[in-house]
Amino acid sequence: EVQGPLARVLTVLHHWLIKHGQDFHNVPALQLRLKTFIDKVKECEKTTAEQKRFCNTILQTLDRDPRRAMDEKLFDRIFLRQIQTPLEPELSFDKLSSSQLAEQLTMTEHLLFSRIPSFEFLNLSWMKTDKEIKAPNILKVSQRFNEVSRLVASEILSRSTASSRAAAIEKWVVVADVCRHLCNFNAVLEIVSALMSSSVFRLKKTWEKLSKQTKAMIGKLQDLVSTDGRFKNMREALRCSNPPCIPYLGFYLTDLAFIEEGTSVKNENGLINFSKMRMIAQVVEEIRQYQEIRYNIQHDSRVTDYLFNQEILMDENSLYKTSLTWEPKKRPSVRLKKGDSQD
Amino acid sequence: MASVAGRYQFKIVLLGEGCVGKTSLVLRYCQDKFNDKHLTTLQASYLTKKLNIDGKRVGLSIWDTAGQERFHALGPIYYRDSNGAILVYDITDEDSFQKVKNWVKELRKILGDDICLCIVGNKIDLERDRHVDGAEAEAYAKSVGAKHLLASAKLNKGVDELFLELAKAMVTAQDASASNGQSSGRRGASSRKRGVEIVDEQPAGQPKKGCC
Repeated sequence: EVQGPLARVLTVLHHWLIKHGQDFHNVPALQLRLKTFIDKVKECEKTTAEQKRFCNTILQTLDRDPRRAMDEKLFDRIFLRQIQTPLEPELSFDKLSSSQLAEQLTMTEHLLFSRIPSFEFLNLSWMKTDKEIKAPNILKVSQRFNEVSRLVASEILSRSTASSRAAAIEKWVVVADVCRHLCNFNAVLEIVSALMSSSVFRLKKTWEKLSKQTKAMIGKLQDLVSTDGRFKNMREALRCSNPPCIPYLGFYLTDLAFIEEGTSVKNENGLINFSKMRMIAQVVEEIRQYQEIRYNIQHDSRVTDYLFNQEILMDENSLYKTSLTWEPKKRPSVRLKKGDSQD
Repeated sequence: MASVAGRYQFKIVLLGEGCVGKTSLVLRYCQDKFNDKHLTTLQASYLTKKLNIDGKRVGLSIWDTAGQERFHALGPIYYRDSNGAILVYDITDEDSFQKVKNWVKELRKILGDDICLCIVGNKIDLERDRHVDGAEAEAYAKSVGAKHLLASAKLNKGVDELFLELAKAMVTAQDASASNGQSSGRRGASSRKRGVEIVDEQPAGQPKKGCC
């Protein structure tokens, strides 16, 4: 008999495996439990031949790891690189083209983004104390976000004259604009954040040197990634673009935080609140769509060596100190009070 | 922010670690609890609230960065044009209080005295597990010119009060800056939004006399 509880359980398992294989591939314990269960079912006398065949199909599906081996290699090469060789001189920010930078930023960021398994989005795992274990890939995305933003600010602030800093800003703005064309909204936000950071934003003399076009472009990019209406402009742009895209992960995380904290798991009758679950599923599903469609960009190790070079990076404090060195604070005499310090 | 015809419009940012319950506070405040229908509207806009303080009409738009706490680099984009900040810590979690101190430093660096600060110790329903010394928190808030309040989102205690206190402080600060003849435009959201416009900075550091 094909029907019956067992057949239904097997159908659910098969469906789970096909739709959400990452649950099993990322959690070896779950994989083992499924294997053990299937083995037991196969050994059972009551199991029909047809059900046994179905069991084999499930096992075969389980053995097919959808993660692409090439991607794993590439990920290790780019993100886990331990070699700290000094950069070749031709691999400086000035020598690399804006489109090279934008493309490789996009390629690496999508690689990182697409690796987040859906279960990391559940139960606010990235906000809990055990987040390092429960949501390592979400954390990697935010770490990298901060790192790229710091790279942008460091590159600007490592120059000693206002015009050279302005030139660096202009180039990053072009990089951001190429990223916008590539629908990499995450990188646009990284770059705009760096321009708005305390150390870059206060450089009055530098900003005066920017061309009208650059200023207009910055205004346009700022509008695109404005936090107004929970990033309504970016959401709209995302909706209107053809994937591949890289959305800014943060706004999905806020949606999830609101859904989780604003609605209860059970409804007033003590039953599971399915509309909450559906809302969560909707967010996760949208992320998955963007994860699955990949960019067709070749890896250029020369550029990624630059983008991941830790030597250039300054920390927040050094950035601010450097900023004060290049353009010291004016001390408005009216408001100056005893005890005010310069930093 | 212009106060046209006795109207005040303020932007408030909500800051704090992931687990301090800041979203619960704002949800409590804005609609006690939001139902499923609300969610679509929620996603489309930040939370707003209208108040009446001594006959003055005050509009608050509250920006919650819930879930994005790890994206530190994004901070300035959120708070650059805000008038007030609510910095939430969990009274049972010393670490979350230390994080509040970092936020205060960062906000003062960027906005100087232009921003009213309100430090909130949340989860007073867990008083017996308290790990942050009340007097110490109070003293710290005073030293940086911030208000200090206690609340419990769970018991709905102190929630209305903290938003009201902050709103009052922002009204006072705005009235003061208007009567000082300072252009209120410099703290206006619309002018700040364009990052290319540069405003003169004020000395940061620890202000003796904050706006709150």
